[in-house]
Amino acid sequence: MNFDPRYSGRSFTSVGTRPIRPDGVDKVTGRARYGADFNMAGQLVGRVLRSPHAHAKIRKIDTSKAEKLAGVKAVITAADLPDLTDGDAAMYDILDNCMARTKALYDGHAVAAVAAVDARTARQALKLIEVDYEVLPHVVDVDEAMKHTAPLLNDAIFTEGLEEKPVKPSNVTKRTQYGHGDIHEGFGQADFVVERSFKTEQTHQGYIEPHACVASVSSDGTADLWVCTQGHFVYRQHCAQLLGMEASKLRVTSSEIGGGFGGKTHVWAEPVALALSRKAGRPVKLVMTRDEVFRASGPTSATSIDVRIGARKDGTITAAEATLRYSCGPYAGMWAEIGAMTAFACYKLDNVRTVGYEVLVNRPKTAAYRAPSAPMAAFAVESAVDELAKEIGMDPVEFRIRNAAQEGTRSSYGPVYGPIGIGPTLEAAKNHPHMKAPLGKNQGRGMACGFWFNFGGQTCTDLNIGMDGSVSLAVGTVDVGGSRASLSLVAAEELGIDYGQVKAVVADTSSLGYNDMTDGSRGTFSSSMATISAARNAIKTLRDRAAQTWDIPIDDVVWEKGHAIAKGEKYGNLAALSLKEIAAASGKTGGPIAGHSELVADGAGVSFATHICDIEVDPETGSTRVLRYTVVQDAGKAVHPTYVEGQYQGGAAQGIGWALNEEYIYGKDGRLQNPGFLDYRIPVCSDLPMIDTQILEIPNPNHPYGVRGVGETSIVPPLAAIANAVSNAVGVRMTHIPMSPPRILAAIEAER
Amino acid sequence: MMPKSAQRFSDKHHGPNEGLALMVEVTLWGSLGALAGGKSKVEIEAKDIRELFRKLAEQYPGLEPLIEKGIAVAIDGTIYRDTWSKELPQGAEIFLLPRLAGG
Repeated sequence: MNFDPRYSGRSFTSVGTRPIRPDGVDKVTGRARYGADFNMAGQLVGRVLRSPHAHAKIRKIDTSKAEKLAGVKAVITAADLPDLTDGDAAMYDILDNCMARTKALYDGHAVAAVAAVDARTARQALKLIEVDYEVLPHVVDVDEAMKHTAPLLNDAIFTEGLEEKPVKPSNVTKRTQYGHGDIHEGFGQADFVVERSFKTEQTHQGYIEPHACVASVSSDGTADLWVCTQGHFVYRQHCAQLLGMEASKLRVTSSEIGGGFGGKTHVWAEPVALALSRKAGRPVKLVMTRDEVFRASGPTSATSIDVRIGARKDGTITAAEATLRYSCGPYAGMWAEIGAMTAFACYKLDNVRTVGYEVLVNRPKTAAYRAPSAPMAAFAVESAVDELAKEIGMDPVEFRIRNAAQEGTRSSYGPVYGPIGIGPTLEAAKNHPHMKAPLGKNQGRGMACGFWFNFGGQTCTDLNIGMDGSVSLAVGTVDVGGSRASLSLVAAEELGIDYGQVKAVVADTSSLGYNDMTDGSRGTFSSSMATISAARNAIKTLRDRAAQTWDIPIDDVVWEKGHAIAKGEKYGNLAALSLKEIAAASGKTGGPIAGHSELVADGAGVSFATHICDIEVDPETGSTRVLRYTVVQDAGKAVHPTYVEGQYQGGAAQGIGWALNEEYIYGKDGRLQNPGFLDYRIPVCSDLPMIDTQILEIPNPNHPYGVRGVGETSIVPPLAAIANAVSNAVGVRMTHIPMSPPRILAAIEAER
Repeated sequence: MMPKSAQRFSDKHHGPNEGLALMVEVTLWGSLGALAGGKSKVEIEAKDIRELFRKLAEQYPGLEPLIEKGIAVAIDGTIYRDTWSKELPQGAEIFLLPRLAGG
């Protein structure tokens, strides 16, 4: 990588402004095309048959009657998706999740699929498929699943990470541990100790757009996939591997995306649609219903967490420990491990230990959800931190400031921190007018901190300059939160031209080199780095063309404010050449002008936020109302501040829903009882106040403009901030998320 | 015989870093240590992440599958997941971490 990513400290013209979003008009007029908006001539309708059982052996599947139904063009089972994963356990789990092989592992697990001429025929065909199940005992609760008496999901799983190799299989796939120091010694120094157990229920990312795709496999073995995804290159790799195709023969085009938040980072229905198309010889459109989205696609973990924190009278934390049990669905994950890494990351601790347990349950495969695993850990830790501050008699903000991690602190997950922003967010919160606003009866205020890692990754970008001087920017990171606007600003900044001259698009997988998906808050961080690099390469060509025009050495040409300038007194009579002028003459100076970049963007830098929340609780009904909410977070550099604020607000809004209402509710039969937005209630506009934001800009030293990722950290503090607010409002410590009215009432009544 | 991954890591492209290999202390996270004979810290002579991974795979074959799957390296607190040409500065804290998922 011949690119220097270090922060340059430059000033900006375009970056930091708030132009109109380029995708806005299409989105508000309905012209924007999402996953289900694409159609191909002769396409069939795909539908998936799903297990009604939480846990069952599949003895036999008889598809003969369905195949004979007029209008049915293909029926597939796991036999049509043979195991081509070559020992790749993670891919095998994805394959088994796409189509159950020997066992249905949760209510909603796919067992067969059909492609038919219309939806009615497809639904009829599903009813004609006969599946002979042997129903098995199931377990959906994370604590129950850890018991020795619990039904086993997979008798080939033996817990990893134990000192002694286990002799019996278990639903616990792995134990992990982080920390340093001596917690026994640390607790011995404590004057106050708080010890609590917490639970959080499983939630869905709640993306409004369901999973949707159109797959078309040609008889020559090439294929096209139009799909709603966070990473079309990753989907191409997954699908190619699972279907035994060469990646280059599968072209994947990403649609607009109506939310992903981690739930669209690996394939669900796409290999099924491709397999149906391959068998039917026609394009197949497969769109999940909302019921399917809830029952069979990416929820987050349900958790059970024990926390113990000790501190001296002066407010110094002396020891902290947590045991975190996270549900993974039926497949191994590293969700508790991430919780164990992030739990105490905000604090400077001499003695800390966290232990994580990954637990299999008969629920859908756990997927990433915006800073995955961190919000639940933060809920438990920040609740205990608040309670400890109260016991000591310290202000909760002052207590956190006293113990906040800083440059040089050894993080609870291992490495020593470089420059970090937890202190500034706490100071900003302390000085924010929100902290001093008066509260009324039955109202409470809470605050909490949150941490997330942020990632970079493989990135490839093309920048093409048209003969009219307009600029096309082709990027490979799906735009989930406004990156096309941000990247256009970056291209305009680097080239020294107007934002309106740049048009950014997300290119398909045949048009660009590989790009990692948009996750880990990496979209703008990574692709802006690649855009800067591509623009600088284009500028080199622009200078070369100007040098040719003037017949002078390229080293005598500089690029300033969108113009080539011949430097030195000897060129005093040469008028500067604009980008437009150089582009117009490009046909005669060497052909098209473009800049290309492929790089690995690393060094995204960790991120911190502090949130403040005011809540009013009705003590008669337990219902809650969020009165005021403030987010303070470090963005490094806000490229398009409106989008950054949108990310902060979006994370807070999702966190508010998670904290107060959202949960998967399972019946005794192991079936999901609320797979729809009527019974699984996400916040709507009338539930939310205007969420106030404060952007801090502490430059990331590993990005030329100082940019950090901003998309995920904002969902980490809300569970805890709201729990602290409710606890302060009702005078009872809330330990179970969501704090729905029945839970709040039960907590109040238990205290009476 | 050179391990499979070591062969893959030993290509000649070192990016901008052509400096001398230094002895660096590498801290391993819990479950990784178990695969390195129970050690939580190991000393490796390496100038960049590529050489670090190659020598770790040579000296501790139990680590090879995890290196293949992906390991992140924190250098003075900054996490690198894919930049194998990243130089390991003298006296820097080198910490191996699991490769994490984002949302």
